[in-house]
Amino acid sequence: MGPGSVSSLLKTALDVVYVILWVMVAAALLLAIVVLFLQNDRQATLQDGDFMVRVNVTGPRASILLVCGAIYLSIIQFVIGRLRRLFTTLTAGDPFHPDNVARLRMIGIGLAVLELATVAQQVGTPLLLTEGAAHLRMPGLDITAWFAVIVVFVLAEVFREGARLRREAELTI
Amino acid sequence: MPIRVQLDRILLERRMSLTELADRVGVTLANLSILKTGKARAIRFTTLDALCRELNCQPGDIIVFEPGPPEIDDGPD
Repeated sequence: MGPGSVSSLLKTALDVVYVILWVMVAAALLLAIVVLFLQNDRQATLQDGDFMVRVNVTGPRASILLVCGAIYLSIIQFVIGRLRRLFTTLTAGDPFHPDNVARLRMIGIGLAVLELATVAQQVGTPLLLTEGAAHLRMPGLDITAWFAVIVVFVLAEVFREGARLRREAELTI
Repeated sequence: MPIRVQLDRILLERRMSLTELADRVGVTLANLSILKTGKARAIRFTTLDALCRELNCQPGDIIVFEPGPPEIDDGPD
């Protein structure tokens, strides 16, 4: 893993994204507390295609949305964290470490939860902001995202077999 | 496992320690200990060759088959 290599660039990118996510989660939670106590009826315009609505950007509803955003970012951070640990074993020359199987499975579960959260956001945000089903958009199924989830679970099984072969190699005298 | 390693018996007969055997065959004491305690999954022909040479015995003296239930894979799950 020399300087300028793909591994080095990936490791740097993962580290940077991980730190940025920490900052974003903290900022979202801080903002959620601030907007909870602001009652100045400030409004913003949200537009989604032909649909346009003016919503309050302060108060409990905005605060709930920010907390949901922070939870969403935390899940991304969880996935990035597992990726970083997986990458650490890779750079240490031990990619088939038995712990990597569980890490990949957790990444798969994390991605699935993120996709479900996206669906929940598509349904929940208009309901929460516009006091009812003024604009209820039916959530779409992202085939690519779910395909990625399946790929990660398949990779976890590949790593499980790799870990088994590694164990056998260790016990070959 | 139905395959049993009788290294301890041969060492006793030869009055040789595991450390001495490890030095002679060029295998680490830890690996030889794994072999002796029956935890090894496989043995290389080169290792078997070195063991037979140093212990002056046949492979069948070191490794014997004893019928029993097959081993359950305890790999990661």
